[in-house]
Amino acid sequence: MEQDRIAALESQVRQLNAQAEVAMNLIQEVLEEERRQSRLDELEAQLANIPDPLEEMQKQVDKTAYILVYQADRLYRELNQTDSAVENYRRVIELFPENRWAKVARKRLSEIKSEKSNKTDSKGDMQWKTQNASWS
Amino acid sequence: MENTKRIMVLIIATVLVSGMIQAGEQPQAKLSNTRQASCMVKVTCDPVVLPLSFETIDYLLRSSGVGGKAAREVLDVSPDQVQDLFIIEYVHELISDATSKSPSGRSSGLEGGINEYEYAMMMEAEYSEMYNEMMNPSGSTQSTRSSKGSRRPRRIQSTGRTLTTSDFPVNEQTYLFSLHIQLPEPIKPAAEEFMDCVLFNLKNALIRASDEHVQKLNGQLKIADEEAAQAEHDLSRKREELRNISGSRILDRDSVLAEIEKIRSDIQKIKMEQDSDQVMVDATTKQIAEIQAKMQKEINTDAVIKELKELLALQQQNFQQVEKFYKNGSTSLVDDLADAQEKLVRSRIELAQRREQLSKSAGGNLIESLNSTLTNYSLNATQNQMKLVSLAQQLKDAEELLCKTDDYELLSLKTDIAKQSLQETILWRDRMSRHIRMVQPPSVSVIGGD
Repeated sequence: MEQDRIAALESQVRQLNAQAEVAMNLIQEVLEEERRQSRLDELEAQLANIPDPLEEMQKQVDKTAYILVYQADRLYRELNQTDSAVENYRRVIELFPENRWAKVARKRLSEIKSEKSNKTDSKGDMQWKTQNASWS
Repeated sequence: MENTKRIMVLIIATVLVSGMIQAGEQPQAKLSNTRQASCMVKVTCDPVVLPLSFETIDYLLRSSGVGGKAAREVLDVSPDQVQDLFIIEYVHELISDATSKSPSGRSSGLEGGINEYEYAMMMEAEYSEMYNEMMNPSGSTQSTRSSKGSRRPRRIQSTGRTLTTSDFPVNEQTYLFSLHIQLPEPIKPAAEEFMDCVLFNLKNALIRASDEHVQKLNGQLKIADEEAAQAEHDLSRKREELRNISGSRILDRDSVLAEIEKIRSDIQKIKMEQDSDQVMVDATTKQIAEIQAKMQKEINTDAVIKELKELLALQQQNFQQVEKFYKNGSTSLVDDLADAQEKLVRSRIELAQRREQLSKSAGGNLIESLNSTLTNYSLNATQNQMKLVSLAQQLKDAEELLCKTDDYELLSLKTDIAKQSLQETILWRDRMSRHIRMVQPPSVSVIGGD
């Protein structure tokens, strides 16, 4: 009777040990998973910290083109220095043809061109009117 | 003495009044029945109006307008006969000169001058002496008597002194002479009436001369007023023109030229700066464009990157497969999945690092500082351009001002002349006014008479 009771107890202990080992293994796995994830996060962070040089370069080139267009706009609109402005617009188009500011520069050049042609037309009209007046 | 003076004044007044009344009377009135008459006459006249001397007084008395007229009106004789009807004897001359204190004034006969009282006393004494001499024809007093019809100047014997006193406030000459009328037969016996009429005519002649003189001065004053008004108008108009030209600043040719020179120098300096800035802008922009091109080229052609990209593609495939198996139930592949994922990330890191490395070697890290430099030069260039526009306007204004300077200088000269003209005209006007105020009306006073 006593022996049976002991044997039962030993069996219980063995079961408990087995359960504890399983629990321990599970804990180990979870910890390992956490460590792996942490390492992966660190690597992802490291990757994220490395800037894309081409993207960075594109930003800087954008800035450069913007500075030139901005300067040209001031020359054209505030100081009425059309020739200097045209030079700057052309420089942007020439050096950074694919940049979005090159598109702006093209648009400005087109505006200047149409403005000049309008002026020439109005001058021509005036000359024509003057000539007509003198004839009449 | 005071009483004597009063008596003299009364006698003069009586004689004057009676003389005037008699002169105005018709010849048909009752005659005095006198063939002789004499009196002492005091003539006061402004020498500016009529510079009197005994010769001129003598001529005046014997002229047809004075003595001649009296002879005709009172005695009914021809004016030619007047030459023998009276004798003039010089007694005294006194000149009072208001301007004697001035450097251009006449020299004073008496250094200290005499006052009116002393003068009256002296005149009284001399009058008494003259009276005595008249009563005694054999006396030493010399007289002049003109020959009949003769117009030659008479010799006037001067017995007295020429007195000048600075105490008199006005400019006048006083002459004292005695007038003796002697009417021979068959001329009408009206010596007193004739004498009164002669003196009345003399006074009228002097007053007429004075009036004409004053009238002339008034005319000149009017002209001076008009001239002054015109000069003032001219001056104000020229000043306004000057203000219009110069904008209320003094235009000096040299200072305008110096200003133009300075502006030109500033423009040149700024243009040089601007050129320098523009060169820097061009160079920086070009450098940025070159770096961009170089970076793109190196990153696109780098062999390591190519290998790394291929490796990355393999890692990607591996990861995708493991992930697929894992999702299909192969839970044992959990470690493999994590491993594949880690390798994939590491490959990406290696690729990014390589690109970064290439970017740096191509100068990509300089672009930011180059852009900063470009911004500065660009701003400087724009600012200088603004300065140039402003200076160009200033230069244009200064050159226009230089053109105006010639007109301004000429007009300034004209303004100075107009100012001077105004001053002179005002001075002239004041002088005229003073002259008019200073003119003394002539007077003819009779002192005593038979």
